[in-house]
Amino acid sequence: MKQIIVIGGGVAAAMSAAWIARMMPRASHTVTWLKSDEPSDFSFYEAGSELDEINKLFKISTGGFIHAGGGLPILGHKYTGRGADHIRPLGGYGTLMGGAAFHHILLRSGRSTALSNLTGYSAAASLAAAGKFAPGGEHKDGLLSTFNVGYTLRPERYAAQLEQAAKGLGVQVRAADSFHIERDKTGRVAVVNGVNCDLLVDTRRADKGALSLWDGVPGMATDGEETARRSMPAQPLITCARQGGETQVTLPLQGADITLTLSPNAEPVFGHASEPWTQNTIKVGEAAARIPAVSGFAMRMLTQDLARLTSLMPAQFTDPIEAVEYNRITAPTYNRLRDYLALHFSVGTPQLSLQALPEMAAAKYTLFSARGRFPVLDNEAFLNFDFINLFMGEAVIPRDYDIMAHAMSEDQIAAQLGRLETAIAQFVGKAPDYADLMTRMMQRNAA
Amino acid sequence: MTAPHIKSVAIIGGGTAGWMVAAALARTLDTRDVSVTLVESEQIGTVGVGEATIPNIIQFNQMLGIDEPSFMKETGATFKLGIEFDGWETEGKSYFHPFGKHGVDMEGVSFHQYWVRMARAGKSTDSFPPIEDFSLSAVAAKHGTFSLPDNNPRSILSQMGYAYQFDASRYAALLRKYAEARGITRVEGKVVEVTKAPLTGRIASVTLEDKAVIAADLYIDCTGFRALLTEKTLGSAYEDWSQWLPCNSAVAAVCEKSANTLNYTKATARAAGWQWKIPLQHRTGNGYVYCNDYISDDEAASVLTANMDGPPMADIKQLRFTTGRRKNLWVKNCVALGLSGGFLEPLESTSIYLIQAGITKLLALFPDTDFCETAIAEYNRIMSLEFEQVRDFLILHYVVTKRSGEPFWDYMRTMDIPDSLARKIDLFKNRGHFFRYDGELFTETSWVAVFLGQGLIPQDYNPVIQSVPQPALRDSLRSMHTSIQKAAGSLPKHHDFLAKYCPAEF
Repeated sequence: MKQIIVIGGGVAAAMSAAWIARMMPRASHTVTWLKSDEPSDFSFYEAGSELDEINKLFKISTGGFIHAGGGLPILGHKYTGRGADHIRPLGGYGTLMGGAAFHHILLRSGRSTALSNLTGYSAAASLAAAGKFAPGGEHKDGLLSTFNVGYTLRPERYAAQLEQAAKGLGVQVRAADSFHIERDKTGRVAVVNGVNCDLLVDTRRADKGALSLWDGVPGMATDGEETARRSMPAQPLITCARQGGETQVTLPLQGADITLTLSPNAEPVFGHASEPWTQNTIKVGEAAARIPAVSGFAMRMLTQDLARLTSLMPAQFTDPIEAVEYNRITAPTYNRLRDYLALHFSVGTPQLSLQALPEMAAAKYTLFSARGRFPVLDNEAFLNFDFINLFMGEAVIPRDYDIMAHAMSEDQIAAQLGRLETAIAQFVGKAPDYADLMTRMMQRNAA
Repeated sequence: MTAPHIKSVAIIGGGTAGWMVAAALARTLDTRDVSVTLVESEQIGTVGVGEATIPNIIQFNQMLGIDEPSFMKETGATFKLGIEFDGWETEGKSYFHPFGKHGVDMEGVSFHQYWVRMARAGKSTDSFPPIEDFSLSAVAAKHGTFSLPDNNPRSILSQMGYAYQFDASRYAALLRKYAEARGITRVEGKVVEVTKAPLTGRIASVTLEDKAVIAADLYIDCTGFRALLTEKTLGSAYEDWSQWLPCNSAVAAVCEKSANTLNYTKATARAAGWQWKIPLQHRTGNGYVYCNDYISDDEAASVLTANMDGPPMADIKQLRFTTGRRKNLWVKNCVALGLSGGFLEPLESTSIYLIQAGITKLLALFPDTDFCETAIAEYNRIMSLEFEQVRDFLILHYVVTKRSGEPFWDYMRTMDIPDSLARKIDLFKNRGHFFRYDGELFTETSWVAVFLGQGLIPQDYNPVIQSVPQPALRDSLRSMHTSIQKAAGSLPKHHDFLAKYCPAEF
């Protein structure tokens, strides 16, 4: 029988314990969670649509998750305070036209590419701007393209939901004030708090000294501050208000807003571990990386790391060859996240310096600003729209467009844009009001 | 300030690569604004690479808007469901590398893990049906049947994957017709001189035998192994991979088509290399790829002709090559496409794909006259990866073999291999783990087909699947097996399908 021990608290520990127990056969593996009180994991206040799949795995319904998790479904982020206010939806603007990406079509036809002028070309942004809501995914009318629904949540409540799931899957949960880790002569972990250990999953928040810190990513100026709110928010959006170099992120929850502030003047704390798996210890969650509360990346990385762990679960835990492969794949994934965040916090500011950016982040900026392109690298956790929304949101206007945009005539472009706007307007017109819908949903769940 | 747009493109060399890029530019550029000229000489023959393809060619034809039945009629094409590898593990044993998936993944775990578990549960792994029996494409190939895939993901026919086998010279002719109809100019002539601009070092013009001078902003080097522009003029070095892929010669011949046109390519291991058989509607292509350190050209030709379905219909063609790739495929204002960019032996039918990949990436990074260095570096980075990933997959076939006692195979079996491949083999050997790198051409199905087909059975399987009770798993796989066999057997015969859908028009 293999003994897998998870140590730490919060979402990362609860999800690790539940995930491993769900994936590994009970006949040959036991999972013990030595649960400690950890500082609040603010980066887990938001999650993307990947959480739907995770919750399905644990038989947590979407309604049950929202109700008990204390959060709300969202369609994107509203950016204010620098340039024109705009929405970055969880999906792209427009649709492919004649094989060319939407922004190339706009550039070719001389139309504005500023996101603030494009709301009518995104179903999600239009819904959000109008205070309406509809589920994401593929829509019948291809013109509406695809958008996703994300969530805000209270991490401690979601962790409690996951703990219930973990217990249902046979995880032994034991409270732990501290951890006494005993190693054998080879240095591998043999016993933790008196429990024999074959594999240790460490989710405790890493000290900054254990991480490669990310240059150009601001630190946390304030922890989460909660402000009560009586009514439902008017729009399904997280607000990112920028002032100077600071970003104030306001996440709407049920009955309250949580506000976090990221500032370049705050102590840098964000970064990642270069070798998350050594011998029989694997670091996930805040032990593997500390990630700022931007676009739910912390949850995205956690779920990816866990999926990678179970798909590479070794036969024996003494220096497994799988650890090398896990580290080989994981390191570039975090490097790409670092690149994205470096761009996120510098593009559109006077502080932007290509020399100061990581090499591949600079290449992305250079290629996009030249002709609206960007390299997609191995092991990126991002979709094209993440970068396009970032660059276009910050009013980076490519100097030229892709030759594929020649495939359609001006008349064809005008006609297709018109059809797209009409289809989205009709779709939004039929969608329910967000605040009403959420109120009714909460009442129904409460009943 | 935006640099001026490219106003002229010169493609030097025709053949498959030249006309593929000409057609793609004709489709995407406004040829009223940009002149595209293709220079080729009838004095210089084409190699006519890649009669067999992989499924990506379908997207290329779709991008051009070429209708499938018309294309197949004009090129004498047949459908290809995969490749049968004969004698690669040991003499007399064969396996099938199918297009389309093996079985159905369950609980987010790849199908092959379940197969390994069941195969390991028996007295021997050979007593369980081979993994190819769970692939609709592979089973249809065995039955000689075919149907186009169904778009409904719930239909078993949605698992069908296919490519084509066609006459490469007829394909080039079709693309030429397509490109010329859309404003591409063809110039007949042999290049005798290439001139560089003294300040920039870029190519300024090419001079033809008749003294005509052709100048363009962008040049595409499709001059084959000669690499007249990229290597001879711009000095881009070639990286030799002969230490891993030592085959350096091929003899090729065509013979009469066989009665029942096969819907797959056959690759048979021979003492100093391997032999291909590519069935088309109007003839069968054959060739022996070998390393001339281990067999003479004459002996190779004898082995080839002795193992064809009929006598050669024309002279046997002799080819020499060095496997490898150009370190920088794009230098200054010139991009190498096709054989001038690199050559990996045709074992997995990747020659046309690598041209296609080069074209797709060139279109995505199409330059202005400033030739942005970041874009050029990005093109070279992605294309280098493409070549390396294909290289690793090809080496796998040679290194995972049990053939011994033949000097060629003894070398192949025991040679040092690239670290990237060694890691993949180690991971699979241990627990069947496989990670496909982003953008990697060959899928998990392809790698697993070769691993398992050549007898590399993982020592264990992913423990995640232990929670499925064995009897339930056996039933599930049995039912999958039955439905695939039934479905493949009930499809139309391949030759009947061709006769109705796309009979060759010559």
